[in-house]
Amino acid sequence: MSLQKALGRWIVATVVLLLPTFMLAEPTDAAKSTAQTLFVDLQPLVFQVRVIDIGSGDKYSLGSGFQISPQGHVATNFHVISAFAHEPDKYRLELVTSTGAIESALLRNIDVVHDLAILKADGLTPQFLSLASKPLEKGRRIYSVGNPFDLGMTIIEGTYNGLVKRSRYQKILFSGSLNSGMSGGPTVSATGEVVGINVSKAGEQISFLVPASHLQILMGLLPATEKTINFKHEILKALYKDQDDFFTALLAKPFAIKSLGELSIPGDIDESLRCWGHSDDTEDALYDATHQHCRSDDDIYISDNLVVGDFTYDAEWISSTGLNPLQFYTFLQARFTHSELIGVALEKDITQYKCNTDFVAIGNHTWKASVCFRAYKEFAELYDALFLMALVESKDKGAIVKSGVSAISKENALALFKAIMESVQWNR
Amino acid sequence: MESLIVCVGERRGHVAELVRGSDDPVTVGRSLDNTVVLTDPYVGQHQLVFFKQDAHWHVEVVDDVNPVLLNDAMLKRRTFPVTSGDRITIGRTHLDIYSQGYQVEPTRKLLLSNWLYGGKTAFCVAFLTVLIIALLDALFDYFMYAQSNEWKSQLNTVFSTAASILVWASVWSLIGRLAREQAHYALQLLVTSLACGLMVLTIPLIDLVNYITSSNLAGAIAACTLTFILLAWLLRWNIYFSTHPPKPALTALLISSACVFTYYGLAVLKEPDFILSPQYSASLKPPFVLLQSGQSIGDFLFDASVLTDAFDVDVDSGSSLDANPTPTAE
Repeated sequence: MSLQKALGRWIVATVVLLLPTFMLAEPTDAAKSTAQTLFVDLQPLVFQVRVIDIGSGDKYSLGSGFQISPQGHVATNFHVISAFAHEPDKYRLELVTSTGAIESALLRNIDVVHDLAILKADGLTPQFLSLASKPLEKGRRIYSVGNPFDLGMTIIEGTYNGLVKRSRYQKILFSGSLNSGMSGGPTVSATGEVVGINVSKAGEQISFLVPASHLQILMGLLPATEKTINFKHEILKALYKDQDDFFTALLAKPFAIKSLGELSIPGDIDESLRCWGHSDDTEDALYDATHQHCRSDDDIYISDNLVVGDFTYDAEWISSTGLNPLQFYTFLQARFTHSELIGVALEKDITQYKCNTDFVAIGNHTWKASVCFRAYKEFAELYDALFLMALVESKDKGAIVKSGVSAISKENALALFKAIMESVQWNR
Repeated sequence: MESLIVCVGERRGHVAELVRGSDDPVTVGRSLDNTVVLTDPYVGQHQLVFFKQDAHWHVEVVDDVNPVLLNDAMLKRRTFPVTSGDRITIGRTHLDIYSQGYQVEPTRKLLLSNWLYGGKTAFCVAFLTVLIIALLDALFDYFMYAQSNEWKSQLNTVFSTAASILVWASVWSLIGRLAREQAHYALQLLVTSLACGLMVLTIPLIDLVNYITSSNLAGAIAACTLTFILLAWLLRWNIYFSTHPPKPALTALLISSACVFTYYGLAVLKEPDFILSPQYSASLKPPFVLLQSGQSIGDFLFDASVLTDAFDVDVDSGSSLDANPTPTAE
């Protein structure tokens, strides 16, 4: 073989071998370039948000935020600055810029339902981030910026997966790993528009964002003047309206009915309730039982010790296959327990329960029912409400239906319980 | 009265001091030259003189520092006649006056005397009763609470019930042995077993009261009352067989009251000031005692609606929906 031919073959082989590498490298370089570019562009407009304890002068909580107006408005999560909102005399707000400069901030408005807050600081540049006006397509790459664990500003790449289905509040599903400290930071598209605000995570590569549309609405509700705002009143208003809207819509239409043993019960009360079912029919047990448990995954953060918004609905059908009536009712009695609401609450936040228990005629059958209320000490007209009823007419068949709602008005709670009771029927 | 008998007090089943007089006067006082010498400081050195006059006995009050009572009535005269059966009270001392022919009360029959001295037969029957009651408890436990056909768990009930009866009866027998040198163990076992049996049979009443009234408070009162009655009944016989006091029933009532009050009082004090879980009547038994068909849904929810009126929440202007909202930007 001549030298020319050998050299030619060597060149062709090299090109053929390296071509795939070049082809794969090109998009990866482009993606890195987008992230790098965005990081450089966003860094001056994304801040670390700090709540400072005035007494000690140290940080009480940390999060992230980003500028949304030339006047110096900064968006973040409510839960990042909730301590200040509840006790403004005890804490103050600070923003730390990318250059390390510290600016003091004021709290201008909150949306506790969607976990948003708008701060305002003087001394910021007029540059700000734009909010996306329309949702992205699923599968698009998006980039989340924030300050995880106080380690410095970082950017995380992930995938936009649209709105979470069966959720009471709109949330974007982000396939990326948000970490503590990134709350309140922006998640942007490749063009730098804010798609959502970092809010929470549920596991590896499963995180949630508040859609930017809610921030847009909140911006439109900014107070006309910079007067002192009673944030407790704002929280109460928001919670009251949210539960009123939700339960008014829920109760506007009759419940879809399904069968559970010999019982007809409301099936899917609301699409935001995730339901699970199972049956107990093991050989050794002297009873058969069928259960349905439904619970909402959504909640509303109020403070470190107070989370509201829980909604549960459970139903059980039990029949004896070998228990005498006393044994059967001992078993039923052990299951005659009210729902437990998820949501930390302390004595300073809430009163003790007060309950009314009595026998109720539903259809042509007798049930023992119990309704309990407890009041929020700082939010008048909102209660945690529990409902429980058990069929007590048959010696070898029983049913238990229960529901629990956090932060609901008395009227809505009674209307909900009435609707459930009127929908339940024993098909004897 | 032909002859005078002066009784002073009672001690350990017999008269503390008994003076039989002839026809000569009988003097009473603290001085050592009296016929009946007392130590009560409220009695005079020479307090009384019993003398016979016209075949009848009389008493002269020599010292009038403190009043003298005849059958609990204050005497105004210095000298008064006495008859058999009279009681004279001076200071803190009682003197009972009798004639020789005084009719004492008929002999009282000792209760369960065949059992007190029944020997081995009594013990056998008592232990058999313990066993029967323990088995009854296990049977009730099974028929009311068991969720599976596991008989082994009932054996635990038999042993623990029998052990409890034996220990309780043993303690009271020991008290009897120390106080009166009579253990009466068989009888103590018998009454303790019977009390345990009564408790097994009547405990479901507590649930019944709770179920009918839908009230935990009513159930607690029923539990308290039942415990008091059963404990008082048991203690009455425990005390009677061990110490034979003059009023065993009253003693038993007092001890039972103290125990029940202490137990439930401590239970109330131990309750935390703030309870996160709801407190409601969870009793669903017994189902065959459903006395009412139930109220309507509307009435039930109306009763529930007034629950919120009872909350004592201090609502300041900032946390009420009535407060003025913050003006929003246009």
